[in-house]
Amino acid sequence: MSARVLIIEDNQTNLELMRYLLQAYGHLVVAASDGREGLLLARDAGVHLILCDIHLPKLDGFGVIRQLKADHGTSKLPVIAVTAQAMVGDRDKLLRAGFDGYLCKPIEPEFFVTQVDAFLPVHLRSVRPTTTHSDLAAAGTRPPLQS
Amino acid sequence: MAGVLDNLVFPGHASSLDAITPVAYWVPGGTQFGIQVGANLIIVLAYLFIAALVVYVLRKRPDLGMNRTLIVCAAFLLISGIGRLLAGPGHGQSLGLLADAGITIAAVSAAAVALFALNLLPDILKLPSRAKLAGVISQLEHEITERQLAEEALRAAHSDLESRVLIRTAELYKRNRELYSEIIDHNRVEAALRETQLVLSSAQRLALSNAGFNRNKISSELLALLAESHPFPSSAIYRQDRRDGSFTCIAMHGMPCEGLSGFQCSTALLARVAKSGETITVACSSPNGDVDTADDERGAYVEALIVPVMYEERCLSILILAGTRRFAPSDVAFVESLRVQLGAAQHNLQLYADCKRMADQLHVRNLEIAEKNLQLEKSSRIKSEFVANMSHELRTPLNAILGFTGTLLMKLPGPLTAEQDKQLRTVQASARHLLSLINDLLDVEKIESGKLDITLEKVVLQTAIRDVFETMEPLAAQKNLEFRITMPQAPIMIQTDRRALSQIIINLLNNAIKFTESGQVSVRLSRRRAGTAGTVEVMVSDSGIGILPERQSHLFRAFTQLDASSTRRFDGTGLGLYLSQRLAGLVGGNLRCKSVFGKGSVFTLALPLQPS
Repeated sequence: MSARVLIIEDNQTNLELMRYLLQAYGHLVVAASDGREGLLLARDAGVHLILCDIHLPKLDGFGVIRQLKADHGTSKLPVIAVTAQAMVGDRDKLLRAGFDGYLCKPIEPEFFVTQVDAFLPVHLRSVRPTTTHSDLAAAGTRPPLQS
Repeated sequence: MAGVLDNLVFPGHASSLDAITPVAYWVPGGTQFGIQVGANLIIVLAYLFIAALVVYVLRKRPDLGMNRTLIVCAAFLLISGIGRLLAGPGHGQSLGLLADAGITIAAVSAAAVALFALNLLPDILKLPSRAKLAGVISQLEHEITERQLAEEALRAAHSDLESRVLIRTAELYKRNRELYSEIIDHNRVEAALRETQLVLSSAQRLALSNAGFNRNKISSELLALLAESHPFPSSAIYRQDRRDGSFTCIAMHGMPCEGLSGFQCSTALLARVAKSGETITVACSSPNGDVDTADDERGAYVEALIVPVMYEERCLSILILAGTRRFAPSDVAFVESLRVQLGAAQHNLQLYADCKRMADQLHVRNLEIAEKNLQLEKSSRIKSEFVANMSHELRTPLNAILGFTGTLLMKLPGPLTAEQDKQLRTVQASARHLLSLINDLLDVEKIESGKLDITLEKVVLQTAIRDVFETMEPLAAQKNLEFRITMPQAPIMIQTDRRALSQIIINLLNNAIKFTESGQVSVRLSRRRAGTAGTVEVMVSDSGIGILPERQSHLFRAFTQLDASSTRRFDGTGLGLYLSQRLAGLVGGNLRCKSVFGKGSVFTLALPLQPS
């Protein structure tokens, strides 16, 4: 099965990357390039999950999550923050604001869809494409320290 | 006495009664007559003897208080005796008239005495009884004993008093002598006090008028004072430079011209006085003398004193005092005591000036530091903001680079040639290196801004190390390195920050694998008790390129990779060891390195068994 995923992201390149990955795994993607548009689509497009940037025009990620969680129609939707904010306390701040998950940019393409799938009910999760690149996992990069 | 009276009086009375009666018994002639005459005679003699006894008693004891009684008794006895003599037998009838007369007299006197005795009776009865007298006597004796005792006590007290008086007198004498010498001393001190008071009052006036402790101003005022109340109309104070020994005039009074030219006193002379430390008097009249004076309205100077102001054998300044008359010994003495005071005062002023200068410097320094602190805080904040922004801005393009490189390498768009795959992996590795750099910078920023909190929890070292070891195993396997782990069986549990510990071991293993082309990388966990009590050590050894001895000291500094070329050969940011050491310090441990260039390196992380 596949899920309908809303991506709210103003950077077109990053939007394309996520769209490409999700579609490659069989998900449907709806995209918005600012917070207001994102809110409208979240209410009307019948999405199962939202990926949301934080630095957004018109309404930023915090505004989006506040309204999503305040609205009965959208309050149950899983919302994952996908952001380049990797400073101390950013993760906690976002989770406190109401986001259900946090993914730090740069995303890891090998694991991205799996990480997103974790927030979806089992029947909506993607089918893993066959890939032989498991060795990429041992690449020696590491996420920054969190506290 | 009563006894005596009894004895004397009553026989008398009895005898006198007898003396009246014998006439009736008298029988003339025969033996009986002879007995009568003899007895009569004895009676008469007894009367007279008793009378004599009474008179004798009267003479010897006129104090008996019964003189009249005794006189009457004596008279009565005498008369009775005479009467008896006249009327006694043996006289015969021839003496009949005389005997009559005698007996009559005896009778009359006996009657008179009887009446008199009757009259005396109350007085006699009034005389105290013997018992009473004995009481009085014993009381008197008692009083006498008491008085004697009291007298004795008095004598003792008196002698005690005398000895005390002696002691006191000696003391007084001593005290007197002391007082005397004190008075002498006092006078001497008073004289000295008067002397110093002169100086002090001057100093006081100076102090009062100089709250600011301006040395030159104080000096000027002192000189003005000396001109005003002492015979030194012109004066100057020179200070010697501590380094080059030159003299500078710091105060002047009453000088006709400026400086040494006005009061020509050679520097050599000043230096000599400064060295000797003794005041000298110079005559001003000599045309070729060391001191030359210029005339002014008050006339020519006659003499000048050149006074070195000393403190602890160091000359602080030289005081030159010129007078229009010869100085008296008292003037010189005054100057001598003044110079002692002045020495101390100048020294104190120097100390004060030093203190004040230091305090001022300190104050300025404090302000500077406060300013610097503000700047530092500001720049620290700016730095944090910059790092955060930079991180954000770099991550966004990196997201696309790494993301699309990843999709290509995942062959999501389609198959790749071997060369495309190889080149794309290079792009990916470079982008990841860039990301490592950004992440390390973020970590440095977190540690340096104190934003990284350390959470101590119980960690079983074997488990923590094995977790890291397993994640690193694929990297070692890629390079065909022997990757070993040696740990004691018994679990070692310590209080530490799990993430910091893992991060350090990841960094160490990463470096070891990175810088080792062939051979082995190993991890060893061990307890250390000897020397450093209660520590555990995690040793990461490799058989890699090693580190030159001169490079080892720079190892833990930020941004120092072994050399520029190694940065290219081995990706890394140069922050890993710096971060690791900072993290080790945060959890109370330390990180050290031993290396033989070309043979390999051993990095040892020492951690306390008990958190400090």
